[in-house]
Amino acid sequence: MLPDIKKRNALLRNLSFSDSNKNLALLLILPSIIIVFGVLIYPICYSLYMSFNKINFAQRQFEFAGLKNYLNMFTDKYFFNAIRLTIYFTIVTVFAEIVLGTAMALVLKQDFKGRGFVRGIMILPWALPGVVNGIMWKWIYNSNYGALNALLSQLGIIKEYQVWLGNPSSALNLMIFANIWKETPYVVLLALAGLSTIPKELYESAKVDGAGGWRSFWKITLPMIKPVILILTITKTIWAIQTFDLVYILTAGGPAGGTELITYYIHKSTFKFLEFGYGSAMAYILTLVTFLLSYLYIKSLSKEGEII
Amino acid sequence: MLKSRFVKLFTLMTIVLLVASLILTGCGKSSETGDSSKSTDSGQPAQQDTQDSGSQATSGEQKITVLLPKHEMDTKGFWEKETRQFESESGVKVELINMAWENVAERVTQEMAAGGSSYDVVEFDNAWVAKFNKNNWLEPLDGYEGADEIKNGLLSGLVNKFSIGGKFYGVAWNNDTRFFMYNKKMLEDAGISKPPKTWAEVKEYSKILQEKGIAKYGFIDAYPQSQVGVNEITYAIYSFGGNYFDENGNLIIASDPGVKNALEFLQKGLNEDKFIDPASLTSDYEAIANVFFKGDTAFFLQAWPGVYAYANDPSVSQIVGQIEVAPYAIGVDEKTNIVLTLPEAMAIPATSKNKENAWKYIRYMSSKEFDKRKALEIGALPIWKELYNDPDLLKLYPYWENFGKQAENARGLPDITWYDQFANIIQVEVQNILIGQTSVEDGLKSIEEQLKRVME
Amino acid sequence: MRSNTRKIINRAVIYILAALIVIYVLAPYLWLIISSISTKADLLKVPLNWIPRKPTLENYYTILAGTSSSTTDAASQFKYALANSAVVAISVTALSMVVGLLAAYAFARMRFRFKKPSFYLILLTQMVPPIALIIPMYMLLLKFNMMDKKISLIIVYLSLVLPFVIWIMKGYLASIPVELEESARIDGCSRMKSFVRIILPLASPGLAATTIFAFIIAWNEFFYALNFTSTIRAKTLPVVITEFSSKHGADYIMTSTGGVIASLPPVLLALVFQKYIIAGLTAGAIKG
Repeated sequence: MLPDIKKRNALLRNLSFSDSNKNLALLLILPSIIIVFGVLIYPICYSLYMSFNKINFAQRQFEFAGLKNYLNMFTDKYFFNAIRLTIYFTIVTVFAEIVLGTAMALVLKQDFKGRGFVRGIMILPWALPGVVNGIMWKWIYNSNYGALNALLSQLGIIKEYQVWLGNPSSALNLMIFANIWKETPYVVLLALAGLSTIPKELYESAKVDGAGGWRSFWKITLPMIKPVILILTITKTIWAIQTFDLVYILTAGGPAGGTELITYYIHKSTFKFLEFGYGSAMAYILTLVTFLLSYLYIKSLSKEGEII
Repeated sequence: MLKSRFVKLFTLMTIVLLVASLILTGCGKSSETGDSSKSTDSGQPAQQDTQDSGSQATSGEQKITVLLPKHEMDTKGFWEKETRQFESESGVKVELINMAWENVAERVTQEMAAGGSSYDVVEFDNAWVAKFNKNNWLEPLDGYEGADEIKNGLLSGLVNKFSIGGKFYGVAWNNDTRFFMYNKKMLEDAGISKPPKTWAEVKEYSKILQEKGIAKYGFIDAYPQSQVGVNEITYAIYSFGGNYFDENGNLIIASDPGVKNALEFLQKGLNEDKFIDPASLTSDYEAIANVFFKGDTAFFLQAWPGVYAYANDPSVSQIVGQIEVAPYAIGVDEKTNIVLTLPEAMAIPATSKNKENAWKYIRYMSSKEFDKRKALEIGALPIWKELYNDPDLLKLYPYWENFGKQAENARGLPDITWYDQFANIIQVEVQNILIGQTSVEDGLKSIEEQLKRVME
Repeated sequence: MRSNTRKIINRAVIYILAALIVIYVLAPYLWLIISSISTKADLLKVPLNWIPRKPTLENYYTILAGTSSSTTDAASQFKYALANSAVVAISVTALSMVVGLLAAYAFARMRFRFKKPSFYLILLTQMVPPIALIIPMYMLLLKFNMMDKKISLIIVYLSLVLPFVIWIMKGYLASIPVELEESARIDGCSRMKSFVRIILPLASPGLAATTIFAFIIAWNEFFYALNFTSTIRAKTLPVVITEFSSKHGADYIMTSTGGVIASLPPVLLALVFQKYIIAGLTAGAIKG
């Protein structure tokens, strides 16, 4: 019952070859290529060049530094700290958001009264500007007057108001929670759209075959929305690695460097320490890692032509 | 059925597209006409082309662009009003851009690094002096008309702070000096007749206040991982007689007893003696002011000048009439009397194309008359020495007399070109100490090691 | 009888889960709304008053009408920023949807040389953190006199949104069975016709979701806007909202007010578009 990939590819081949206008494809992607590369190619090349240089602002010139910026990373303990935290942050947020988001999408796909409304407000956290999200959680976690302390103490769960952001591990986990709250709707939105494209007959015939809800989820739903989930996982990974606003506003990397994610550290190195070359070098290492990670995801989890 | 749904979606998107293009073209028009018509008078922000420096020459209009954060006490648009006044007196148009301090800092760095000439007057923070000087980013002001009068008339600390290598780079616009204030009523309720003078007394009185249930904690200060944290730690170190560097610029942080005592005192105060609110570790200035205004703490060790006025404003404070300025600041002993000064200045970027007009603006916005109006209207501390004896001001702000006593020994942050790397290491490692993750000694050793590596 | 009770239990479970979702999503947001209509005194209460004693809409009034005395403060600039954000986000959404749909179709349905490499390359551009690009971009904008202009933001955002729009839409397009298009082509439809008549309607859930996606990314972008705008000519909402703060910290109440207003347009958009995200590929669709 599931679409057969081989058959599909064969059909696809037919479709394209039957088309006499072979340049059509190029014509279709050309506008996108022009926009994306037109805007980004110069900045990317320039900053890549910067990563091999040291900038002397007084003389307004570059001093070639070879691989020095790249090698410096190996002795920078703040860099390693940031990498460690970013890995943890990325794994936890991506996993939680994908699982939670898909589960929510499954619920919101069901028929119930007020479904449209719930789907609409579902977007709220994601619709909130990142800076507002950061300030809102900062205030909720506030140790003197915050809502979290108020709620927990009024429920009798804590006796004394806690300094939630006052130790590295709880600060990091609360920051992760704030991120999950905000970003999950993105997964819900796209997963929901993915679920909506599954033909109903698939479920109907599965029912005839005697498959229960759980089985049809694994046998039909998941395989059908797998491409969407994969795309979500990769985009989420990219964004998690690039998380900046939240750190900037909620904790500024504290306490004791416990929430200093890598892009925040790059920002600090660039704009505060004026180490533009070093900042760029770290950014490109990050790019490389992100790319390899995405490539691995795609190679290991998707079949040929499924998402790329 | 399906088709009609698609038709609807398609129509919707077409409408969206149409609206977008309409708005876009509409905007192009309105901003063009907005330039020629004088929208400034109708209460709308002025909307001139900033970047088109070429258009200035053609229109013959003189125009400067000013990028400053807002004075924290300026709630009624005083600065802007004066800027408009300057415009009408000088005939120079001013595009005044106010942003949050962090945003300004980011923008100034960006602009300087990229070598742009978008701004003619920019924010110049006390912590940027050495760094900006090293990179030749600013225009020295010494040669400009009236510069000597300013250098002689301003508080010498403010002039020195913004001078380096024998050159004068910035005229202070915000004399942000900190003072020891306290809640007099709480002390009286606890039967304490005079404010503490030493750190030991702070601890002793805090205990009494807490035991009697008058205050939740003796004090709260801001020790988060940010610049703010470095400010407050620096104050604590200075007031314990310590310093990061000796007179010759050698690092002494691991061996200086003052540094060690200060950090030990704070670490114990937070974790064992518990008279310092542990929220200090995550609080910014806004947050600690809230706690003090709420009446939860009794001492405000390094309050900025505006705190006094806010404490007496019932819309934000529950301690109206209770705040007092001590005639001295807290120190390790009776003799030590040190406060922190963190002024901000106006400066002219070396790349500015309108330096003369920029200077005119700076001169106007720092004149003695202006300074007095600023003090009268928003209560900001003057930058001119003379005004501290001004009868009108002293009548309005009698507590300034004690400001004067405390400010006798005002000190700033260390002047080093690599200040930001320095601050970063201090922030992270001091927090490690304060939350009890490392001992004071190990922490200080680690700081010194890392600082030495950066210095190389 | 038994299947009936099971049905009821099923329904109940769904409603409970939906309620949980609503609570999870709304609780922090409600707190934001409450903060925006509270006075500072109410917010600083211990124990906290969850419902403000003296709710006030004054903040909303200030933010939408502006302050009388000044033009450079955040409250006075808010309405201009709202308009800027709308222009930028709508333009970016519309342009990226049209341009992106074309590319997505090509990537989903056609075979051409360098298909994979070009796709990877487009994605690769998104993996470079914006922080690395901001300085050269800033220099470019200075050079071409494009600082502080809405059009610059629109162009920059397009480069940010377009790759993801292409990728996400390609995913949805690819999930539509090729057989459907094939049969239409056999019936004599041209590629264009089958695209418009078959593919687009079936992809409408994906299209709607992607539209919302593009809008929200453009609407909420902060970092580029912070660096590339400085006056009400181009400043967007997220930037102005950060300006409800002094050197000493953020004004939480005004930030909340701004945040509540800023979050409404995307939600309205989602409410309008959500009906397109319901079951797209129904039994009827395949037959008809």
